[in-house]
Amino acid sequence: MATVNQQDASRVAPPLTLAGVTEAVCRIVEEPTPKNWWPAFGLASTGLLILLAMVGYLILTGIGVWGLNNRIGWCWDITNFVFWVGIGHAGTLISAILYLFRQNWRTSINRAAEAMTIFAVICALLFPTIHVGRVWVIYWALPYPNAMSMWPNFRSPLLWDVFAVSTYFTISLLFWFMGMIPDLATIRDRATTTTRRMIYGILSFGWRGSARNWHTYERTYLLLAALSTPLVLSVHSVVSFDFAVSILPGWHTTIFPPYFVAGAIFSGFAMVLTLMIPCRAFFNLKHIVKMDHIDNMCKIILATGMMVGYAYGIEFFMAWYSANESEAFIFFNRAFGPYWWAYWTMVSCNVIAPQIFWSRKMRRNIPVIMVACVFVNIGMWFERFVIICTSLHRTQLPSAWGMFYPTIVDVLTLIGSFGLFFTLFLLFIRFVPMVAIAEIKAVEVHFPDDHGHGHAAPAAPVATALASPSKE
Amino acid sequence: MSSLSDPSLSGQTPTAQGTPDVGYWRSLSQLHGAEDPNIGAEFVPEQLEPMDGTTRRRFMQIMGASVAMASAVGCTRVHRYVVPAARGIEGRTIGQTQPYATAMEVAGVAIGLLAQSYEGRPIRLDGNPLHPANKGSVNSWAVASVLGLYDPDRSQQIKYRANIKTAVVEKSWDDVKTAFRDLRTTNTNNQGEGLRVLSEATSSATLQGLKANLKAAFPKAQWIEYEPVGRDNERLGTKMLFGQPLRAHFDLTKAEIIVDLDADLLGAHPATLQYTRDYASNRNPEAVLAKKASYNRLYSVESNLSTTGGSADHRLAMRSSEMKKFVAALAAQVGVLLKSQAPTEHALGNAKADRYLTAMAKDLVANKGKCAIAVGFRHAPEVHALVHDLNNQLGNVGKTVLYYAAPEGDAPTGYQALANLTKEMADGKVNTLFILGSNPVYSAPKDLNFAGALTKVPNSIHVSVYHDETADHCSWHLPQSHYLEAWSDARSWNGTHSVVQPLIEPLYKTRSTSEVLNLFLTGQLAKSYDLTRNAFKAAYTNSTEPTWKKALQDGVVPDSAWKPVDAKPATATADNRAMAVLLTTLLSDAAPAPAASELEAVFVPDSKVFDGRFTNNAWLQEIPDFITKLTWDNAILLSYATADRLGIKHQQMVNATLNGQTVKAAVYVQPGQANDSATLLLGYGRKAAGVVGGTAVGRVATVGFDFTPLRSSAAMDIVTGLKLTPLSEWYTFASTMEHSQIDTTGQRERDRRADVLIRSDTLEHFKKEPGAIKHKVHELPQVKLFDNPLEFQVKGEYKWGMAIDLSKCTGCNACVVACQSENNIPVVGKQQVINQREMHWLRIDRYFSGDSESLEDVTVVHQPMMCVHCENAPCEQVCPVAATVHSADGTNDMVYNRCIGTRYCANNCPFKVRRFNFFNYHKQLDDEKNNVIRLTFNPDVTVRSRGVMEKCTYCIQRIRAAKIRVKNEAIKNNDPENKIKDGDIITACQQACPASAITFGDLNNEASQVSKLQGSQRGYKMLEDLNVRPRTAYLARIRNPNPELEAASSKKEAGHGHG
Repeated sequence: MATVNQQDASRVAPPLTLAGVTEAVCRIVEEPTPKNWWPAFGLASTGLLILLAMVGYLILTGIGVWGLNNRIGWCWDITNFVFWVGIGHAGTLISAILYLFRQNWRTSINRAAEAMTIFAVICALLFPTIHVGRVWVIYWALPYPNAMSMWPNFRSPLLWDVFAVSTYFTISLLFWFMGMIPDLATIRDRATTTTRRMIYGILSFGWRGSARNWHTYERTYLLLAALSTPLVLSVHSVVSFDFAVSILPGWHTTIFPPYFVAGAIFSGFAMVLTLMIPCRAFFNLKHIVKMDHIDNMCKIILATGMMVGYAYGIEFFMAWYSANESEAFIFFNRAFGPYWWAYWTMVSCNVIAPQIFWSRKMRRNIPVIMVACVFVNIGMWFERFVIICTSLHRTQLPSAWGMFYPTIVDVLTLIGSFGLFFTLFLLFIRFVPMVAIAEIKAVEVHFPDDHGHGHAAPAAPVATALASPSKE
Repeated sequence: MSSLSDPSLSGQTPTAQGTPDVGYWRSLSQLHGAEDPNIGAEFVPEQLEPMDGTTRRRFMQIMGASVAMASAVGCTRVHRYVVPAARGIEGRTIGQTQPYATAMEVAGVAIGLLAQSYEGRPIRLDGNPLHPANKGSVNSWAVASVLGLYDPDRSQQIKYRANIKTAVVEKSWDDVKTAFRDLRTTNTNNQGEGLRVLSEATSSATLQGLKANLKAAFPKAQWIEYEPVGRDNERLGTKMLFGQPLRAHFDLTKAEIIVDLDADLLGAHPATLQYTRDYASNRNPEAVLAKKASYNRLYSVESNLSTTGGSADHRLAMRSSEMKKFVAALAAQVGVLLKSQAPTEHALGNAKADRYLTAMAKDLVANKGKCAIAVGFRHAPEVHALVHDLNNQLGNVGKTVLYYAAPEGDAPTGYQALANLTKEMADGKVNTLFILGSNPVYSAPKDLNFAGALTKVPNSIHVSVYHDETADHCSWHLPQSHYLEAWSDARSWNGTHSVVQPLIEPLYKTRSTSEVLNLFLTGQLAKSYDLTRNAFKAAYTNSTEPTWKKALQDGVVPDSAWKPVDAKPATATADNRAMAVLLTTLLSDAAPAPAASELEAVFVPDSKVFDGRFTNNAWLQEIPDFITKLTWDNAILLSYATADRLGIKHQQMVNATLNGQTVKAAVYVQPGQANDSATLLLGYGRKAAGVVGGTAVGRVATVGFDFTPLRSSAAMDIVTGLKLTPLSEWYTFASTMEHSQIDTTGQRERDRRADVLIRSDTLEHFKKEPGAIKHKVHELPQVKLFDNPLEFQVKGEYKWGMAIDLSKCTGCNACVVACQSENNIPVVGKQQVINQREMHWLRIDRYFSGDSESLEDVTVVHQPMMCVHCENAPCEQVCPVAATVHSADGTNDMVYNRCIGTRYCANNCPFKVRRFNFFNYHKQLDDEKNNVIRLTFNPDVTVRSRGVMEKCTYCIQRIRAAKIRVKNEAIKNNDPENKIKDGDIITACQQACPASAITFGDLNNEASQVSKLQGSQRGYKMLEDLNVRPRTAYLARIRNPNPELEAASSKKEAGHGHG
């Protein structure tokens, strides 16, 4: 089956069968662990162990094990946080917004993208947690009844952040898990061993596939999609408030919310592609995660990349137009100061690299896409580094100018966070259906009377018809 | 316990419990005689007794043991003179500090101090307001000396070894007594032929008395006073001119023109505190505007940029070795001008220096009797003679320049005396050598080989607070008491006599130098109190008990300052001729100055650790030097042009060769440094200082570089012929500014900003247009979109604010250490300073101005920077847990125990004054041997833990204490109107400042000093356009340039750094 789909340059896809989809996806979970999985998992879990060691060392010793100083209070820690939160956004966008917009091609990648969201947000949450000086009292940032009769400070963007990211995590987790229930039930039903049947049985919450089940499922799915949609915009807007609400030149910018959201989606899609392209090759899912889908995602990367590039430009324009000398200096210093290399790395990776996707041929060239996406990931990490570090290192008083030099702990913690992410992701692809079987069947499977038109709504009686209250 | 079940409380007699037939009952059931379980005995004794029989017994045991131990402690501790505050003292409130007047002597000159004693331990040293020299101000050494008292590295044990090869054994004072008896016998037999005492310079009458006793008992003995940085040339110069050794003292309050020729009157002179105050007192632009005062003008000629040079209105960077020629030319020029002749042109053959010289000479002559010229101690006696003659010719003597009979008299110079002594030692002529406090093995010039000579002395007795390099080479090492542990006395630069009063019994088994000497002379372990008291009785015929007590209480003996002598050139008629001869010789000196390419080395005591005696003081080590901002290090300072010429870069290691000796050290390229002049900072590279300053024994790396080997007894201070060979090794300095070499982008912006942040003006322009300073920044209109209900409103009775006068600040760092001492600020160490994590709440920002073509001609501005207590504080808004909040009277408070350490506040602070505890900086205290350091802590201020933010609090503990005091007074006097008055609260930095540059007070009170200063024409606030509304205002720096020089070098007032 997989061979039929290889390198198809047209939108005409060979027919998928219901059984074929089920088989292709469930097989990954049911078959013995592929030999290649183990080295990957070994590497990732080593990274995780490094992370645990670094976090333990940090908490036992103090924030001083990082390269931060009295001029630069945040650097790699918050860079990593914003980077990981941003990564998460693609998942939510794919699963919620594209769902509401009836972009049926999303079904092939939404499960993995949502999983990526969850894991990325876990990585993200780690950093603000461990970056505080006294992690053992971090719960003081929560509004809970306490003997001190103290509320947290509701004027602080950090507090908004706590709410925004935790809400986001909760909703994303619910959405992901809820969407997975029918597929978990499929695995339960195909189970050959009692243990597997028991585990997936518990996880599928007694799903029976009845019309009642499907009805409730679709309603809930729609509701959660509607709930998640504003989160896509709000979470990263709130994250951007951490900077925009401050009075620091370079941070104090009204363009930050849309700029950050665009950047988040940009980086998120790049990460989805970075993950899905190897997966679809490795697990023979090319007929499900089609070239068309990849092509679409490249277009989104191109579009958001242009938005980000526009934001970079407008920041410079405003710095000049506002006639605020401190602001002008910060931006000039970004491009030509000691961190010029970071700035130009960012611009090259985020603005120049995606331009290759104007070409349809390139949007369908897997190696090119992989390289471009890795560039975007690097570029987006640097974007956050540039915003945070270059604004802090030269603030209002020249006497307090300084430089940030990362320590080995900084570096290993970042590497370790990738370890955490990939450990979780590898466990996900091993034990959970990585493609939404039920949804794929609804939108992608070609029935004989469907004239080969995979996107037709009537051909998807279960998922779409029930899900859509609007007139088609 | 039993009182709780006292029947009177329940209204029952014990027997009446439960019986109804009493007058009072509590319930019906009680009345009817039934037991009500709800009432009954509310306080059952058994339930209330927390201790059963066993624990009560245990309690008695412990208490008994405690009482026994307490009395045992009392037995050893109770002495007649220093009483531990174990029992309540009448009129004293527990928890309040008690000030005691004392004094600290450095290199023979005293600073009057008030030691704050908290329950029997000194915790802080303030200046003594009654002392006429420093009038309440202090320098960093005095403040930091309290840390020296509690230094765990202090010598605590008597050590003895027969000679350098035998093992060191520990001894007791009884052993010392026995040994001294033998020594006394030996030396009595030959009248002290081989007896020598090598002492630090001292002005103590106690020691002078003992010296006399020594001379009487051992007529052939000698007493040598030696300082590694000796000021004897001053004395020799006066002798040359006046025929008698004199000490020059300046009255800068009367000086309109001050010429500082490498003398560093405002930085490194023993009377710096007084000179700084007097200099600053004539720097009030407002008074000039009101035509009530004049404004002095300061000229400075020097090779390395000193504190004085940094404050000078005109500074000429010139090699120290050219000073002779310069002074001769100045004398000639002044002589010509005094005769109303046209000034000589090209006196020096250097256009810049000539213009400077002529303008200065004209200024001096125009201000006859109202000017003062001072020349540095490191210059030759004839230079001093010329300068004294100049002062004499200009009619300054008796007005701005005063002379006292030199207390050292005609004694040979310290350098010479040490050389003679070493020779005697090497020749085996010295049998017994006492070394009192001095550390000659470290500080003596290498060519003397003092350590080698010391091995030839059979009995060498070293008395010192530290077991230092010299202790390693002596047969006896006796631990000396800290000055806060023993009685003594000392005189300030003008002779004002103070008692050095101890604040605490010696922490270890130590003795003062007077006690040790007395033990040697009499065989008696007398008390230092008696020795000092007797010295006073001998010195003052009227030293009755009341006058003694008064002197103790005030910290000064009234009218003890020396009387100025009427100094006249020795041969009144021939003086001009004699000086003319000297002048001609100097001017026509065959080798007046070395060839331009020849590098001179100038040995300058470090501003932080002096000659090395404070090397083990961590507070001093971590002070950023006022100009280099260097901590934990010294360096070879070179100018840009010279470094370029020699191919040496900043932070590069070089081999410095002089007199055949080579030292490997790092180069610090410094703006303002004279070309072809290398400044070598003394006091570092100690090998037996302690865990702070480096010790070979403790395997603590040496801090900084030891340049002593390059000094020779022939040329101690200025030597030419230094060779620097660059090595391909690099060094990292811990400098708190310019952590990295700055790029052109940053440099341009720094120049632009410094002009706005540190506003300055010339006096002439300021007089014409006083409002210009306020309008230096185009103020943005403060548009309000809505009335923010959260906006800070002054609700409190008071509105605290501060004003810092940049015209007065010299950047001396006294405030930085005073703040550290008051607020328990931790020391972080060199690596953490390199990591930009220094903790000082108060930093002094330093900017240069001048053009990049001649970096030796920079001017310097200092700006003390600490939390400005914004009313609209950006830090407060962003803290998620509200750990930084406003008090009612508007201070921006930090709640340490609420802080979770997000550091968001620091990021949002535009002034970057917040300091984060990246580590547990008090971890060293976990080590039991460092426990003693805890005694330094100010109990009024929290010691912060790891992970929390901290910053300047405006000394909130002092504000609160004043509020409580005033409230109590209001209640006591039934005067609700009683308010805190101006001057009731003095912050630690303000208290220390010798220039009175810092003013603190209530802005609600329009009559307060701070309100007036903030409202003055010079008052401006930093970053006003951010609308953070700081409570601290700065007063612009008003320079008073000579119009003649200013016209030639008119340039914009802007910052310029080294790049």
